[in-house]
Amino acid sequence: MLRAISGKSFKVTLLSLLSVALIAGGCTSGSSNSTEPNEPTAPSGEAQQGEETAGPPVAFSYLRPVWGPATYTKGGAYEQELFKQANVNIDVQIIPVIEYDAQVKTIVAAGNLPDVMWASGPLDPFWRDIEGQGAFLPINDYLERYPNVKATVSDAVWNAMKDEKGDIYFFPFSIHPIVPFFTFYRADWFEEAGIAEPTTIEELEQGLEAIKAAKPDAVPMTVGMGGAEWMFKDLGTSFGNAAGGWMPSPDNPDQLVPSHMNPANIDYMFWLQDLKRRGLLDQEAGVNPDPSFGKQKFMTGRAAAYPGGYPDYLELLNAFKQDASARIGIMAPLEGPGGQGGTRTVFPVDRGFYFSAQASDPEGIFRFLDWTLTEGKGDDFRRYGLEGKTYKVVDGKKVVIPDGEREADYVSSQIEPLKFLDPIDEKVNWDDWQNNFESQGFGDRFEDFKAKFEQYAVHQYPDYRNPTVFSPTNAEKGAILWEDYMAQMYGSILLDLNINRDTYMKALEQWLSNGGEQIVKEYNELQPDKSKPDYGA
Amino acid sequence: MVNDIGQGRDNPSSQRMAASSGLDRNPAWAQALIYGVLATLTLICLYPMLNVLAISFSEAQAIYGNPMMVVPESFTLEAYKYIFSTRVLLNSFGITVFVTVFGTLLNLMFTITGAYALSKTQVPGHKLMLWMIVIPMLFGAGLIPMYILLKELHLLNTIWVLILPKLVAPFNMILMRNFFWSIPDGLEESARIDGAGELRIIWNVILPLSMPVIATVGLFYGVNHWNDFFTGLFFIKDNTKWPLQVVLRSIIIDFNMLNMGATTPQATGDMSRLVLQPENIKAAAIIFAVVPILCVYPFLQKYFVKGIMLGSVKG
Amino acid sequence: MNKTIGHSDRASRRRPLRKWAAEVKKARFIYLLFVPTCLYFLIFTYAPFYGITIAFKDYQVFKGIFESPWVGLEHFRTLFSSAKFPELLQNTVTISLYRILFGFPAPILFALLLNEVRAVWFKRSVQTITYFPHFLSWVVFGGIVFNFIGPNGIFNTVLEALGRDPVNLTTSVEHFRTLIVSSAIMKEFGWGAIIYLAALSGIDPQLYEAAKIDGAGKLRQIWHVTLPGMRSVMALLFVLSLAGILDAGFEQIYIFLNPAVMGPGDIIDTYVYRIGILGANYEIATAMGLFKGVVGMVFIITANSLIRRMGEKSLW
Repeated sequence: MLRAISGKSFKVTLLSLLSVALIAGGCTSGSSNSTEPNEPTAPSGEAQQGEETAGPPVAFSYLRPVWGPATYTKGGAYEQELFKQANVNIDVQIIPVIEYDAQVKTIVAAGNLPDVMWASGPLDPFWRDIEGQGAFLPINDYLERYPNVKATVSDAVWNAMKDEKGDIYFFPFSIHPIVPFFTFYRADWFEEAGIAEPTTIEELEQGLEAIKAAKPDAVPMTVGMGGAEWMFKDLGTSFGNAAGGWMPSPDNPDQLVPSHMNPANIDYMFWLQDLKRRGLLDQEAGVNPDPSFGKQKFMTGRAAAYPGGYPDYLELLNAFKQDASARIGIMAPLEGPGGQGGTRTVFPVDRGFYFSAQASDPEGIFRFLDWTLTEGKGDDFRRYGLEGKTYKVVDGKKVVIPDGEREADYVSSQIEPLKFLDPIDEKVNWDDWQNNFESQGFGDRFEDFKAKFEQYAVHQYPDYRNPTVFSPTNAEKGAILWEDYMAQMYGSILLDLNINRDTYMKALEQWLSNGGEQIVKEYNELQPDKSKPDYGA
Repeated sequence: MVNDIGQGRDNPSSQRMAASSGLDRNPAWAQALIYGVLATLTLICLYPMLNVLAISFSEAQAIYGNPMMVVPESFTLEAYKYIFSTRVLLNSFGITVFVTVFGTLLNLMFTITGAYALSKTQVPGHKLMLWMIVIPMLFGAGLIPMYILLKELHLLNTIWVLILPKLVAPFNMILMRNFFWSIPDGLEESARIDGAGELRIIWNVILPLSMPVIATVGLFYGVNHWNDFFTGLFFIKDNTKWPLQVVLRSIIIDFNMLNMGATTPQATGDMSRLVLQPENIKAAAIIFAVVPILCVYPFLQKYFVKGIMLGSVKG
Repeated sequence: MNKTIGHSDRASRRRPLRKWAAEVKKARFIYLLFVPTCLYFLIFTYAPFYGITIAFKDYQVFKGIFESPWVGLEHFRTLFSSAKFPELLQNTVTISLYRILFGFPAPILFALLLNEVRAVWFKRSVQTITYFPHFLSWVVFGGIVFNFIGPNGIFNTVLEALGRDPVNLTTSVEHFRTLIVSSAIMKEFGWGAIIYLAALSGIDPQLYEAAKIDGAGKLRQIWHVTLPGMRSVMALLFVLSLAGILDAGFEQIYIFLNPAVMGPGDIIDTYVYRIGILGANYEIATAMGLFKGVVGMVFIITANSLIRRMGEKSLW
């Protein structure tokens, strides 16, 4: 008869597994206890400089995305200080930005709303539909009574936030509408090859051809993250085009047409295709799935030109610090077939937040927001934090301490979740930029940097369409229409050099006749004001 | 002798039995060919391993120049230091170990009992029982109803949400059931004649003979727990309760998914604020996430030796 | 007389019932063993099934699933009538079939080869290393593949060294499906072999003895002993892989897909994902899930019957 085979060793294994599990479980709860410090103490009755007083702390829950690492832990020293000074108690929850939109919609569907909750706002028809259904608090009244808070968003944008009844539910987070994508280039290589800095599209092409001959191992122009069409958006303004945006049709200025119908945009896209055909644009453009491949190429000296967000400049300077001969130039906006180029501006909102209709103390929340924006109160803390921990004073000026040098409790991942609003004029702060340049040893490059930014900002090319206006046909089948008739064609212009204007226009015809025309008509009808948007920057 | 073999270990006598009672030896040329093919395949799979390992120990700038390296360039431990400096990481490691071990145990308990029940095809209603587990394999209700359910059950934001909703994988249960079918009825019969009840039969007869499938299914469940990042991400808001994969993923901003939306003007605000982690941190996170589980398999190999016992029993 | 007839009628009706009841009673412990599993599925799978109705409704988040209005088959119609649908369906099924045709035997062959190895250290190292790629996400593995086949990749470097023109495999329509299937095999064959190795270890060595005594050479031994020993596992995995015929591997295809290769490569899931970005995510996604489940069920039942006819038991 069979003895209990391996019975003993089986039991031993089982027991040891269980003990490992229990120990691991125990350690876990143990360590989580140790990372949870004591509750913030109740604020004392006396007011100190900048502190808020009176009454129990305003308590509310706050859900927001984080762009940095989601390693925030509650109860850190920064947070405790903020709560003490502002007399609040915020229950923060974070979600990495990539998953944020999908998750927050699920949370709403399950009815789990926190008091303050970030979302894309009425730029997404999903939220526009929900606004009127009672989940959120209208904030018109609070905006009137807290002008400081209201001023973080321009009036033009507040208008766009109103629903048909004039109620505003969404508090947008403002971003600066001008986000130039500089065309960075190797000025030393251009000089070597005897080319002057290009000022027109033609000169750019000639310059790239010369570079191609002079440096056969390098790519003349490469492209960074986000796809060629968007990364070259400012170069595209030289064609009179606002990349990806709606603009007045050349045949009929009273009608707005989407970019894929706009001759200026079509010219621009086929110009890029031509660059690729001539070997002037990186063959990997549109092909390499790694979004930073272009930047890496440029930074390792294998490309002569590269469009990047203007903040990239510092990173590039740092990358070439060791190479004495390398010089990074910024091309000024070029003149092209569409006139003088500039920058393609963006709608100055990047998400924002809603207030739950069930929030117990919205007045308190607005008071807190006001506190963070008021000089002499929370403004300084919001901007700089704590001396010695998040900033230090150098030559009488406040300089931000980089993350790598801060204590664990004060790194940006501990601070980002507690951010709310900033005033508009802080969005692009030249003083901060200058400090940054100087502290990293590139003080001499700052003037040119700022001058180029302002040069790009002279001619602005916005999207004329109001992003909070929606066409019913588009909502119903817009996505499918695009996928079925245009997506492949439009997306392949840079990948399939056989695509030409004829094949493109044929596809466009299909899109129009199957419903595209209706969509364009509806957008135009629903947006009577077709003037050029002015975001006041 | 019978007891020795019965221990199921790789002791010399059982190995010799395996060698002599297994397949014939191959002619030298065939054996060389076989080894050659296997070695080639192994090298092909080894490359990604060495590549990621090398990148994790190199400096970010060096990686741009040579992304296909297999030896570290500009050796540095920065990437690992960064990962370990995150407060929540060690915590999440403990959570993942707990969930993997305890969760797999629960998985096995449910799966073994269920599979055994299903293997009794003479039982009335057995087809209903089978369909009961096949349907969930084909149909699922989706995220929102699941979220609502977990909310109602108060499982949201607890560690149990990592274990309970995944107690049984129909595939694994069916696999195990089919394996149980291959165990000769005679063994069960003789145990029953000896007066053993169902539980004793399972414990003393079925289980010892099923080590290969239990090890396999245990491995599947274990790896599934170890790799799971979606559950923790979606259903746990408190990042001190996140399992390892979610923490690692949150450290590496995976820009590829974001790329879909990055072509819209809307996302420009995102891009200028995005903190892209360098390649070596991503690589270190991968190594940290994968290596522990890789080391588990060799320990399971000893359970893949059922055949010998069966032979010995018959004799 | 009547009494007797009546009595025997009722008795004859009662007899099968009684027999059935007796069998149920005998099997009560088996049912008991099944109860935990049953409870689990009832709570976590069947309870949320009402959510499938989203596929037939205009889901209004605030009203909730129950109160949202019915729209019948509208979502199905939207998707099926799309100009792209025939292409999507064809791509999905073709890629799945290629995966099964080439991907199914790969781990089996690998397991057979590995089974021939005597040296334990070699066997273990090979196993551990070959199942490493399974743990990499497609984001990472796709990046590695791209380093090989991209415009600046090794493949092209070699081609150029041989004097040929460089080929961009990532945008090549003719090579897309081959690329997908072969990279998937590379990634999964090691892991997939685990089940087969487990099955191989379960083969009674005395069967080999018997075959040898009958004069069978190595190949015959494999055909008559090894393969039959793996047959039931193979049959089961085959049937279950058919259940997923409309899942052509979303994660992988999403990584490799670009507009140039939409023609051969766009599958139902990637299309639904893209249109879902602009709203109507839940309804169409749920509708597709339902569609896939139904098709999968049909395939399972058919495949299972075929295999039954071949004398093997897989699902039932």
